Amino acid sequence: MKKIIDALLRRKLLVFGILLYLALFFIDRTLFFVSFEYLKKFFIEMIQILPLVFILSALITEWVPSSLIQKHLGKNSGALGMLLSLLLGSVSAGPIYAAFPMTHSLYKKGASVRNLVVLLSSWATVKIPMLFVESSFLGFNFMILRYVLTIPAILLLAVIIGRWKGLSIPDQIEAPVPMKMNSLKLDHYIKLLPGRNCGACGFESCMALARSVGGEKELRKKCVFL
Amino acid sequence: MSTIVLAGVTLIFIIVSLVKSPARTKSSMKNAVKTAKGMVPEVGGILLVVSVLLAVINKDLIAATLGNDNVLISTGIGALIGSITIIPGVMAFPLSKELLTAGASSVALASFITTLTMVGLATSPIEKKFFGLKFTVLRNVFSFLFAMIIALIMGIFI
Repeated sequence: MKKIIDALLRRKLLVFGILLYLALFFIDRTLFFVSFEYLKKFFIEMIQILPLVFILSALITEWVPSSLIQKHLGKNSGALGMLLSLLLGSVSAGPIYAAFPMTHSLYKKGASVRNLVVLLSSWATVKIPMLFVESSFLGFNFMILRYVLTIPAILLLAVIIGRWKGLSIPDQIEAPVPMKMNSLKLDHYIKLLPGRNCGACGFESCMALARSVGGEKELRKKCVFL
Repeated sequence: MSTIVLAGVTLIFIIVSLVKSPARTKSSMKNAVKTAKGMVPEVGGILLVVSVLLAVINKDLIAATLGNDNVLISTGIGALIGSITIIPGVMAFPLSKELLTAGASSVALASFITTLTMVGLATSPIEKKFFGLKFTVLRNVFSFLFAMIIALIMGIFI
């Protein structure tokens, strides 16, 4: 029972969403169906883009040499690097949450924070196919003026955040902890471990080891310092 | 259109990767699944909640507030609604057009569209997961400010 509650808590947003829909179904049927129409459109967009993004991000991480990314998108890539980021972001497809895994893998490969912001923001706002859509719906002047103002704003935003100190961007995102692990236990294991991330146990970090073991005994056996 | 390009690029990457090393392709596919497992429950939850939110703050309500006579108020509210919600890409501009004909001012509309895409309160839990709290807060706060400035400048010209 405790495990189930734990697993649900880790996915609280999803649980909350489902409960919300359930409640809506009984309270306001019309609103339920209107919401569902939106959800359908979201889902279609997500299912088209996200699997591709996950695969491409993983392949970039695996194959693209860090030196290449560092050279063109790294700290010393200058204005050309920003231009390239702007271009890459603008031709990309999909909603902004699809940009997170992709840009994160570029960041891991050595892209600078400044270029990261340009990539993310232009991915979200500057869409070349959308230029025509926006222009046809809201008028050419509206579209062109918005872009002429937005692009410098993105570059300025990137320069500001690029200079900010102590951003502490995580190296990798953590999947939800496996069911059998509860967070108190995990804390306990982490306190026991030396935190050197030496890799002698075969895991890349102490955190990774702590997440994988079944009990304290196993932990003590695997870690060379305990 | 750009989805097809993305699919094409991904396909080329997969083929090249498979030719070079099936083993490394397999291991990177495992990594892709790992990222997906970390992200999909969160995205699912967000989309569930936002879809209800969009249904509750319906078009008429947005149009009414965006049409407020005080430009600062309507621009501010436009930016606020745009920041909280995200919208499926294909719907953003048709919706804007509807809002315009329903009486929204174009300045407020500009702030609405710009924040809709650039600022993401709804997606911030995912952004935080990938880039940390500080980065997420900074990017969203500054994007919000810039979106307001862009909208107000547009107000002078349009």
